[in-house]
This record gives sequence, C-alpha cells and structure tokens, in this order.
Amino acid sequence: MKNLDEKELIKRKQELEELLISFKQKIKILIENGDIENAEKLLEKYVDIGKKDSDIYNMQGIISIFKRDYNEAEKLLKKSLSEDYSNMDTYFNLGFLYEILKKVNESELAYFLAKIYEKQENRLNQNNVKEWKVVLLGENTSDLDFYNKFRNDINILGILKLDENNNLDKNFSFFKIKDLKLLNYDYIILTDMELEDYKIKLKKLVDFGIEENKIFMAKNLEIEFEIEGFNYRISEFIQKNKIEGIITGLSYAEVGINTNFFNGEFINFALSSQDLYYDYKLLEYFLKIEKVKNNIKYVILNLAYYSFDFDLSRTLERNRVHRYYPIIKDTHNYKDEFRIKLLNKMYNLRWTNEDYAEINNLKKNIVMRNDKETIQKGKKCAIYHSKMKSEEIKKENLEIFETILKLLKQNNISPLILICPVSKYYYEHYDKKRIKEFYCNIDFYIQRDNIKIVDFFDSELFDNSDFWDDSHLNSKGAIKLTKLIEKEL
Amino acid sequence: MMGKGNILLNFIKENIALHEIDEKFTLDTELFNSGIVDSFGLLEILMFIEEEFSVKIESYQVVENDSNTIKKIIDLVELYK
Repeated sequence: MKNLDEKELIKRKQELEELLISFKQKIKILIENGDIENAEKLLEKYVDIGKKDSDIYNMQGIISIFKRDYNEAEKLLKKSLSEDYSNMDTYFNLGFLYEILKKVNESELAYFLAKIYEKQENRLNQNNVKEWKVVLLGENTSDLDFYNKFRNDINILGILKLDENNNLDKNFSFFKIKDLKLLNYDYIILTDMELEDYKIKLKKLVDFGIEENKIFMAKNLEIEFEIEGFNYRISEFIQKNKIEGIITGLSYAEVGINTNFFNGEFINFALSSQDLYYDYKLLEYFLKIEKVKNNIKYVILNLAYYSFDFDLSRTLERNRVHRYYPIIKDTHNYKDEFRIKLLNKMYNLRWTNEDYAEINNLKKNIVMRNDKETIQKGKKCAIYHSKMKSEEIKKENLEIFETILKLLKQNNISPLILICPVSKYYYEHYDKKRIKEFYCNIDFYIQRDNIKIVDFFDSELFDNSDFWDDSHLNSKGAIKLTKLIEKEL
Repeated sequence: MMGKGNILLNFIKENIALHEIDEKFTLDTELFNSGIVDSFGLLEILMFIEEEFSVKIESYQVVENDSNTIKKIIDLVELYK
C-alpha cells in the first residue's frame, strides 16, 4: 500500500512538473508575441502553483521592461541571477535593459556573460564584430571542425584547396592557391593538428610567396588552459546593486580576501598572475560604471614585492591575457591579438564559471600540509619571485602605478596597499634585499600621496593552518585577513 | 669541444626537465609548450647562460622572440653576445 502511494506521489509530481513546464512555455510565447497582459495573468497563475525560479523572475523582469518600470525590471533580473547565475536569457535581457538605460559598460558586461552562457541560440551572433578575414587550409575534416568552432567569431571567407581534384562541398566557398593573389584576407589558418601535415602546407604556401606572418597554426590554440576567475567576477559584479570597494591584485588577494566579511559591498578583481597593467585597466573600466562611480569609497591594491618587475604579457604565461580580451580589448605587450581572441573562445568552450567556483571552493577548504613537497615548493617559488628583475619592465610598471594613483585621485580615493601573508616556507627564502628594493620604489608615492600600506607578508598573526599552499590563504586565513583589513579601512 | 647547444642541452636534461626526456630530445625540441620547462626552469636556464656564456638575456626576450628551442635560445645568446 505504501509503495503504491509513493508511486502515485511520484506520478503526480511528474504531472505537476510537466504542467509547470508547459505553463512556462506558454508565458514565453505570449511575451515573444508581445501579449504582455495575458503573459502577466498566466504568470500570476503560475506563481500560485509553482515555485518562483530564475526563469520566472526573468519573465517578470521582461514584463517590467515592457511596462517601462526599469527599476523593478533590474531588481527582478538580478533576482533571477541570484537563483541561477548561469541563466543566459537573463543576462541577455539585462544587457537589453542597460542598453535602454544607456548604461553602455554594464550592457556590454551583461551581453558578454550572455554570450558565454549561450547554448543553442545564435541570436547574439549578428552583433559580433568580425574583424579578421581568414581562409582555412587543412586535411580531412580539420578545416570544417575549425569552421564550426569559430564561424561566429571571425570572418571565414572560405576554404583553400591545394588539391584541385578534391570533391567540393557546395555549401562552402573554395579557393585555389592562385586565387589568394586577388583575395583580400588577413590570415590563412592551417587547421591540421599533425605536425608533418602542416609543415608540408606551410612550405607550399611560403614557396608560393605568402608571408609567414600571414599564416596561423590552429595547433597554437591547443594549450593547457588555467581556470580563470575573470568571468565569474563579472557575473558577481552584475548582480550587485552598488560597489563601495574594489580589490585588485594577484592570486594572494584573489583567495585571501572574503568580501562577505567586509561591511560594505566589495568586488574582488584580484586574479591569479594579474599585473599592474590589468589592475589599472580594470579600475579604469569599472570606475566609469555608475553603480561604482557613485558609491566607491575604497580600493585595495594587492601588490607583491615583485609586482614592479612583473608583466604578464611578457611571460611564458602571456596567453592568460585572453581572459580580459572580450571586455578590456587590450593585450598589452603581447601583440598577437588574433591568437588571444581565438584562445578566449577556446577557453570558454572548455571551462565554465562553475569550474572556477568548484576549484576555488576546493582550495578554500584545504589546510596546507607540512610535508617535504610543500616546503620545497615554497622555497622554489620564493627564490623564483626574488629573482624576477627587469629594469625595462620596472620602468613601465612605475609609470602604470603613477597612472593608477592619478585615476584614483580623480575619483577621490586613497588606495590601501596590501601585501598578503605567506607561509614561513615561502617568506624564509625570499631575498630581503628585494623587499628593501620594493620599499625604495614605493616609498616616494606613499610619502607624496599619504598612502596607507599594510604588510602582512611574514605576519605572526598567521600560522600554517591559515594556508592552503605555501603562499595562499585558505578559507580560515581569508576570513582572518579580511577582518584585519576591515580595521584598516 | 662541446658546442653551446649541447652544453645547454645537458644542463636542461640534468637539472631542469620536469619529466623524463627520451632520446628524441634534441636542440630543436619544443621546450615550453611541451611541458619540459616551466617559467621557473626558464629563469634557471637564463642564470646558467649568464654564468656559463657571460651573456645576460631576460626571460621576456626569450618569450617575445619565440625562442622555444635550445637552438633558438643559442641564437639569442649569439645575438646578445
């Protein structure tokens, strides 16, 4: 008897779920047809029987847009994102709302996230700027695979065929090598993944007189991507109503500050391997946005002692500037914009915000092991960072730092400079001369602009249980550090 | 006498390589994208070059010249000698 009841209950639950889905579909159709009055009536009925979820808040948001109640629309769309921050439709509608409100940057951010979460629909594609005109060349299906991945991001003129007897698919434009002389293109992309295949093709093209810098290897896109937090932070930013504080800097602050423990509304834009240039670019971008401009009180600049000698775009990790590209549209000293754009697309196909959240949570909950491996890694990293030294990079970074201070002054902000704590396995091996040099570089600005600096580098307030690795705080350490910073603000 | 390339090759094999490298490891082997050398390793290579060949090269010069093999790094050494 009990089993029968359970079966009946499951059946009824399923029926109700199906009913709610069909309700949602009907509301969507009514909205799409502009029948707002009936959509609203049906929505009211839905709320009587079903739970309000991200889709429902989104639809209520659209109705408010139609009614020109933009404040309510923004509230509802943000509520939708708080239920499901990967709701592509909501980001799209938020982008549209900000467009109406002439909030250009916020609209751009919302559309950017909509594009990331875009699944089957291609409605944003018509807005894509296709700056580069390319021709593909590859064996088997590698050219078509590339076409399918990137057709919305670059202007693919057609496919080059070196073998004239090939059976050609009529859906594509095909070119022969001699057509290249008359064709207006930016790049030829070799799509073969086999080294030998593309070496042969490269030689043929070069022999034909094509410059090597016009040839791009798709193989260059096959790299191991680090999981980046940039998109995730943009998503957090979109959901906030006002921003009173921004944090920039490196991974130390990315994991070392928990903004929930500040009294005001903060956004943490400190990211792994972020240099001063992108600190500046992000501040410049976000300080233009109304909800920041009108509320900002604090900027926390997380620096490391090697910050003035570090330029991400000139390191082996320079591919990572791709994370900023859709918003900042600047690759700093890595001048291969074409590659960066494609890398960003590849990244977004492979990793999601959920992956970032998952890996971050994992780190937060780890307590550093006191084993040989950790001790050695701490020593290795400290020695490596101590040895990062370049007069050329330092010169540019000091200029950037000055520009950051100027920008903040224009916004009536005096920044707090933060050096995050590291474990003893790291700080014991850091070259003390380099720490002195850092202070020599920064003292002038501190004195001139009366800037506050808090240095927890080897602070006794932190012990091994506060870290997840040799130089990064875990959840416990992050709460401790955030509370200490709060006192300094 | 061993050439600069082979001196550097032996140094990488014995001190830097992140994983076992087979007989195919030559002066033309891709060092960075292949995972043989990371940024820590690059710094060590440059320190070795400074000490051994008395030539100072900065890591960004290696990156920006796409000097991703021993042969190309030695070309840089010759250029900055």
